[in-house]
Amino acid sequence: MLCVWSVFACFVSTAWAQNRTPEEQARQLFEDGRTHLAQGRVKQGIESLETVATSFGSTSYADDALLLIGQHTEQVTRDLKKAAEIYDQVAKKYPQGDAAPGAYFGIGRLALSRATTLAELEDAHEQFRRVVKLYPASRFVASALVASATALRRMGRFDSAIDAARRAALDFGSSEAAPDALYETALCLALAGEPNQALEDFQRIRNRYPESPAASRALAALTALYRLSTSRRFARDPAFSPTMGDVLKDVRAILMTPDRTLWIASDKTKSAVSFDANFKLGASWTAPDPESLSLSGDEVVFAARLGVKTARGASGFSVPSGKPGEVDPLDRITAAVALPSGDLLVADAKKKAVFRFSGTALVGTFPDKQPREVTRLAPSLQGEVWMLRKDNRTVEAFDFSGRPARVIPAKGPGYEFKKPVDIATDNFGNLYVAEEDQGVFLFSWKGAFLMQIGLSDIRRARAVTVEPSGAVLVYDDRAETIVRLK
Amino acid sequence: MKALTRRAIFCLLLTLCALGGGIARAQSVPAKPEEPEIAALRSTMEQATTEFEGPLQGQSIVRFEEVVSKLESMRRGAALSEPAMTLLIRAYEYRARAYFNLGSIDKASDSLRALIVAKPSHALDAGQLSPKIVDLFKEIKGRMVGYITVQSIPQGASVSLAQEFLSVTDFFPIEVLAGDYSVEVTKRGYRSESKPVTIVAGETASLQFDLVRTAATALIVTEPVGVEVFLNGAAKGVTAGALDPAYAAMAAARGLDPAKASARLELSDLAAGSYKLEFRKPCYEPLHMTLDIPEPQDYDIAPVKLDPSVGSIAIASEPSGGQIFLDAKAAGQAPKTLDNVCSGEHRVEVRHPFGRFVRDVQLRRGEKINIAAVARPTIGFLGALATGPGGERVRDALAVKAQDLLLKSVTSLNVIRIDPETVRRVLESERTTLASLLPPEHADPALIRRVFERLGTETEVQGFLAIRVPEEQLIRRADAYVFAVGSVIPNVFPVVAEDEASFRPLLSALDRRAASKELVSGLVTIDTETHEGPVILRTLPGSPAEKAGFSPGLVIKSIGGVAVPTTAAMERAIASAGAKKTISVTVSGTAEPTTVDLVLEEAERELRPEAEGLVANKTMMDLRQTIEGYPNTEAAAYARLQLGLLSLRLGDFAAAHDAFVRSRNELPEGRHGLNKGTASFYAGVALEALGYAKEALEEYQKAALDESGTLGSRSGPLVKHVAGRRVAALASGR
Repeated sequence: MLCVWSVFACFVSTAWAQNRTPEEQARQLFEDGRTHLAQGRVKQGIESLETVATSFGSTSYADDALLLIGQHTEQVTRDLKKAAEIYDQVAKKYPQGDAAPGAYFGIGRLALSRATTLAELEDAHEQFRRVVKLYPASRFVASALVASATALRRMGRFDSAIDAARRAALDFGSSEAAPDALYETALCLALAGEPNQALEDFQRIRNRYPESPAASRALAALTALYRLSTSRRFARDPAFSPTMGDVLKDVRAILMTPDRTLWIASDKTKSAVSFDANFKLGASWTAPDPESLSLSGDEVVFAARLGVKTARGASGFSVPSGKPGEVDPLDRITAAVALPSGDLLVADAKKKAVFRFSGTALVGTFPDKQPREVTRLAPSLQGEVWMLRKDNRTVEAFDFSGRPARVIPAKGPGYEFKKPVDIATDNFGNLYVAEEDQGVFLFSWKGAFLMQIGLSDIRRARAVTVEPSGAVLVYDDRAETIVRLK
Repeated sequence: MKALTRRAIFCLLLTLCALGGGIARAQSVPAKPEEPEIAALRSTMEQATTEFEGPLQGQSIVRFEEVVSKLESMRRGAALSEPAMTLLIRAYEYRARAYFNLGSIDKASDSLRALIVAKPSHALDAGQLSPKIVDLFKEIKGRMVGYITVQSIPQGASVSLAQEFLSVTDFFPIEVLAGDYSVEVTKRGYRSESKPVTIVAGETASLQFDLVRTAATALIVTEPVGVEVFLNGAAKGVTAGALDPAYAAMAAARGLDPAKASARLELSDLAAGSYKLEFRKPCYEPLHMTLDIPEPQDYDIAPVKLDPSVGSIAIASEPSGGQIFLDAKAAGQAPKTLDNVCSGEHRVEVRHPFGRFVRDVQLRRGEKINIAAVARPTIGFLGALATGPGGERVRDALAVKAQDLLLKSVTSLNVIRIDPETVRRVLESERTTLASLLPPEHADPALIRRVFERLGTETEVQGFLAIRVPEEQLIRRADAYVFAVGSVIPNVFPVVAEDEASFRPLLSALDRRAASKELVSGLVTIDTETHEGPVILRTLPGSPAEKAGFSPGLVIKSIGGVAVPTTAAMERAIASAGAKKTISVTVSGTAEPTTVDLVLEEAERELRPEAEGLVANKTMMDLRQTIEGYPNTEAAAYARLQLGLLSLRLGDFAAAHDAFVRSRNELPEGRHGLNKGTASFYAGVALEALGYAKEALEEYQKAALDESGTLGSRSGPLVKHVAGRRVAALASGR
């Protein structure tokens, strides 16, 4: 009986399908695919969309289906290379379709995420510009403007970045991109040296889009920027007194992530341990001789003497020994950061060099072959990497392609590095240098000395990190605690 | 032979009677131009009479013969018109006189006989003619014509002779050709009777009929006159006239005022049985009664006195002085109470110089309806249209449902039904259809704008609502489109015919009204994680906060004694200050917490339709009303700016640019907040979107020179900063 009904249903379904135009069938498949993806049935979803793209290639849904596959590949599967190919296919095959601007936006976004050079940033920016200019009525224009602003900011063209972001915020005030547009506007204003205007725009996010994710980021940014620009005062937070047992002994590094997870790398526990905002224990990674923690994008990079650990896995590294066919393992690793391309920069004290690895394959020394005893690495907001050098007690910044950006000498007006032990950056690109006996020196993203903080609150600094709200956490080696300066 | 002659005469008589009927009918219709043939005969007749009066009288006979011959020929084919018949009678008479004068008595006699057959009642003018021919005529007529008189009980019966109407009883003797006839007497409600009669020349036949009643008659007198009477639901007439004094006493005895009562209205031919009577007159309560008729006779219905059914409508307008129109007739100035307004449906309209208020009301007897007539925009309902047979099945029901709900639920708009004829005319003149103007069709925006602007002007509305029922088989979903006049992109609301709840988003959106003014303290604050309250970042120039001496760094703790932990809470407290516009602000950061009273100011802000749940097109209607109602005012200038912003959000850049340019010319200069600079900046945005980079640059440059203009609100970013960057970007070709 069931069989009979199945045959009947099949017959009805076929007859129904036969009565519909290819456009209607494609629409139905597209909607099915979208629904499947939204409900987590990835396989069915992708299959439906692929059917639209291949079997109904001449319908108006084919380009939309391909775009959706591309977006899924980029954002969920994280196969960026394949995603780029799909976007490229959409842009070339359906340049007049309504998915074309989405494809160009995707191409630009991928390019921006990988960009390490000015030329690559320009390329990404050009893709966004194309969306804005060629498809002014597209729903991707607002996002393209925001992304364009990000690219321009990273190129240091703040006025243009502010203009693009402001345009997105003003002209597309009801779009999903609007809160991010305002955030980018405010960030650029802050970087351009207009903190008061930046503060007002951060506050506008809270006033206009209180439910958006950007609103909570804005509150943190407001707190940090107001402290830096207006009150210019850091005071010890007496309420902050973490009790974490042995984790707070022999601490080598601390790191606060954007979601306010605090990582502590301790030689006592031979591990890096994470705590949430309520000091509840989270993930932990074990490693002998932990050395440093850094944050690259959202990724925590944990460097220990013999290797580097990230969420993607742990690995040791080797470099050519100088003798043909022989390699030397790196066994005095002091620091590591991940680049947007996925490459790792690994600093080794014995080799007195920073090496660039793609996976575990050596790409070369970074930024050049000059010997450097680098003890800490920290990426900056502007797509640069700060290096704390023990050999000459300077802090140098290079862009991701290795071009020198700026240098903070060992001594300057208002400061002198004697025993710099750690560096950290905040959401405005400012650099915090922890000095063993002098608290923390604060420099602008341009390298200008701003102020010294925590001198009287910290007995011996060993590690430093900055909260999203700008509060500075310093590990006091002598007190075996973390001091919060807010 | 005698019988044959009589039959011939009878046939002739019938023909003439038919002719007479024809003449009678002809009288009831507008005069037609005379037929060419008759006109020619009339001309011949004129020539003939001229000849007759001249020396060659004998020659006139030829022409009289020609006229007679042709008219008799025509009469054999069809009944003659009255003028033709008169012409024939005259021709007979002249021909007879001509023959008589020539001494041809026989021919003269023949002509007179023909005349008498044609018109038995004809008489020669004895004062003008020869006594001899008059005598001849009388002699002949005396031999051919007799008389008939008919009486009936009751009188008023219709009498027919040989099936032709003769007169109404009782009548004096009437001349008819001698012969045998059948007389029929008919009267409604009575049995028809007939009798044979022989008319003898020179004698009078007198007939008497006692009619037998077969049906009843109801006699109705009403107070007032002009009452429409329905019998078993069928209209039977309207009472009229004045009451016959003979019945005055009876009417008075029955409670009617004879002076106000109507003449008696007869409802005749009523068979025995029971009837339902209904009496209706506008402004009076309808009256129902039952009429029982047991036997055929006259019935005087019990007095029908209708009670007035009126109520009153009290109308106040905001502001006062609006011109009141009740059912399109001027009814004075508001505030005013209209008394003695007939119960029923009425359209109340109040016109202000700055807008109008329209409401359809159902007034019941004795009711008083109070109307606060606040000028509001008007939306015209264009009805529903279907895209196929499936849609057509539900179209009308959907239109009725939508109109009913709109009238019932929407309070911030006048809702009127647009005359389909007006719509048809405008659409035809633009060679388009309503369907082609609605999405998903891609009509030329200029055409959409032109059509709705024309319709808006003709119907005095600020916007339109149209429903399109798609060709769907399973779900009766339709789309309701709201267009403001001047807008080319509608807001769309899905509705389902059977689901009243599906209309709610549409109805509530139409009732939402934008407030473009906000209360301003001048405090610009931020939230931080380290302050327990908004921190003052700055105060706006010239604002209450600046005047009160609030300085940056102070922390707002409470407003009106209520803690305000965030800027949003502070803004809410300020917005709720209401008409008093005064708040007490407590701040910390000084030695002691300080409380200061602030008198708030009102300032314009940009509307954000999506964030505020506003429908752009409805808001545009409100704005258009302000623009049209308050021309050349600051309010109109700001409304135009807002209109431009909404057009910009909808992607209608041409309309946006137009609005910005006009508002730029009208807005105040130098005022801190939204001002000329704001309009210049947005004009640049619109121009840039339209692809006019050079012109956009010029507008941005103008805006960049404005020192005090802001975007968004008075506390928004300064135009000069934003425009300055846009200038740089455009100049660099980014």
